[in-house]
Amino acid sequence: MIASVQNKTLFSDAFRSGRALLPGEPWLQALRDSAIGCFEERGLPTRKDEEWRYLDLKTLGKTRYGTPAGKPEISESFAREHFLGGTLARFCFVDGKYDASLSDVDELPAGVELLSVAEAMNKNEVQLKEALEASDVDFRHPFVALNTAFLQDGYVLCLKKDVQLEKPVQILFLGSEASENCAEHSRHFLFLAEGAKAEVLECYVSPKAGNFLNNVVTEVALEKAAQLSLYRVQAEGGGCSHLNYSKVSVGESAHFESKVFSFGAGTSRNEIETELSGAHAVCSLEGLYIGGGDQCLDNRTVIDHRVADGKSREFYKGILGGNARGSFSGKILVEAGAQRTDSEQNNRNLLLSDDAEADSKPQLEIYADDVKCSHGATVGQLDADQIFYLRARGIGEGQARSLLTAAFAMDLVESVANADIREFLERHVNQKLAQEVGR
Amino acid sequence: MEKAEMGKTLLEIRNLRVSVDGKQILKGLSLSVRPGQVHAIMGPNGSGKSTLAHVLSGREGYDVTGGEISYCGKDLLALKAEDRAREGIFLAFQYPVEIPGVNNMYFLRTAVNAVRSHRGEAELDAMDFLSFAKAKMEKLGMNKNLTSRSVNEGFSGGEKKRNEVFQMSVLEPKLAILDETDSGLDIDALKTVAEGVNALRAPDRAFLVITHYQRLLDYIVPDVVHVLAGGQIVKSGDKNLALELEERGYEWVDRGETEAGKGRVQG
Repeated sequence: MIASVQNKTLFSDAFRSGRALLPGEPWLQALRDSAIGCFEERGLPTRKDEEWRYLDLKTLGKTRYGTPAGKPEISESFAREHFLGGTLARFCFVDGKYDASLSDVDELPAGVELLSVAEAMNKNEVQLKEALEASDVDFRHPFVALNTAFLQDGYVLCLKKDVQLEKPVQILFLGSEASENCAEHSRHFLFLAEGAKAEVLECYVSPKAGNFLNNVVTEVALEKAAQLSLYRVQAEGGGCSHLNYSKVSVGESAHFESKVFSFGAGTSRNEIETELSGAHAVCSLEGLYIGGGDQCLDNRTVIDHRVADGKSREFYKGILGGNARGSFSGKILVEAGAQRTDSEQNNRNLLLSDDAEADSKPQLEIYADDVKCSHGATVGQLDADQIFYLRARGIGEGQARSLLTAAFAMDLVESVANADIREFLERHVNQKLAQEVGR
Repeated sequence: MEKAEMGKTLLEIRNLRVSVDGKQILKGLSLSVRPGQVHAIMGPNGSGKSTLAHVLSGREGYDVTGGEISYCGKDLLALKAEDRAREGIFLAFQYPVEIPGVNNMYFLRTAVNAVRSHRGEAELDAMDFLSFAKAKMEKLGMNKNLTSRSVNEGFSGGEKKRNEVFQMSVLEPKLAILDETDSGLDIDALKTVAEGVNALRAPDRAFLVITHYQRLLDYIVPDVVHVLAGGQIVKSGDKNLALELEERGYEWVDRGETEAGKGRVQG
């Protein structure tokens, strides 16, 4: 408890001392005050909180995070390494702040709005105010409260009715050395009106392993028959703590697809709460978490089937070596009226070392009687028969292991239709596997 | 023993004793195979046939408690499984393993290049390998779609065994061990697989064909037939021994076990 009070103070102090510098009109300042108040009531979660039991927040709780000061130093070549080819637009953030020089939004067609939250504070204040005040996210979530209190930037992507993007949009977050001991609280909004369609790749990277906090909150709303594919590559250096919370609302016959690739950051949590709020809504949540060393990778999902005829598919895979710990907890809630719900959940883990740990917690709450819900979880090692089969053909044991590990990982990548995104993801998976499995 | 012959021996097993989980399976097995020969090893279930195949290929979990195996003049037991394969030993599995997510052709190219670089030869790139492999496939009458699939995944029993023979033809081993390749095959698949094997018979290549039934030996005609029972070779002879076994059953040799080892035949 003492630890909790102490780290609560660290964030509160930072808020009080920095409050005057935080942007925004009085309504936003009032919202910040209300958010920090909510945070202070509960403080940072501990391992005793059931929903946070797998996450180690020790480093995070001990750090007095500041705001990135001075000019961020990020080499253009490092940024370019992470540019996705064949995009419609690229939006870059350095140390949590929008960077126009690395961005490219010239090709955006009519009916698409892509702007930074900082810009929205000036240009579209009314909409932003509406969005934040109507926001469904719950300040009882400590990192949502902190995110709101410290809110500075992020992106807003709005698609008008029937606007369908043919090429993906990339959002790139670069953490520079100036972010050492700093916190970045980004807030994103994705609104797709009826019949709209988009593919978005978010990528979080940093060249150095310094300690910083990336605290991201995303709100997604898909109207009738809208389709969103949201890919996330989370690959910051080892000192980073990455907390990512998304709240998604999927309307009638709309389709939400999420693929989360968590490879970087010493501590990470990727959390998605999805509501299937219209009939025939579909969501597919997939994740691949690969960890080594002392990494702790936590995944939490909630899928709330609110109405009838919804369909959800969930597939998370973990590859854990060294002393790494990975966890998946997936809650499926089928409400009383959500008849004919069709839901599948699967979590598979591959342990590459004796000291790695995988925790899997499926959680089904079903209040309707005509539903199809399945779930499965496995934790295992590489198959000895498969390793021997490869060795019996002359393939060395190390290479056999990396081949089989890559095979375990790649089906999540191979199902990506867009070739540019697929290659981008493949490269990241291979890089991470080379680090953790070697040859 | 026959010193003059030693230079020509590809595989020499002397008095091999192997146990699994403390249970003695092979109890002093001796066998000598020369290049170009086809040796059949027949025996009842539990006689140690598959143990012999696995020990030769370097599978872990088998304790060699006595004897020695010399292959091309080298101490085979000192080599790791992958090095045995690189030195030209090929095991056609009784139960080929499915490996989802690993493309069959990528797997084979990796294997071929592991062997080539072991021999100090240049590795084949994807294009070169493809044309090399396609020629082999045509020769074996293999379905082309087997190339785009994952290793053995969803293959029928016949397709799996054919894939083993295909791999053998690509890897061009010196000693091919066929572990009950006939099990689970209908007569047509058996013929195709046997034709594939026969096409690979060569003066510098030897085969060890392990089987429970004589049927396979109608198609792959052996030079020498050995009967393995109770962990030893109890009788050796020419191809007619297989026919006799088929007729009289394994009890016939089991009864003659006391004369074990004496009937070793020079092929």
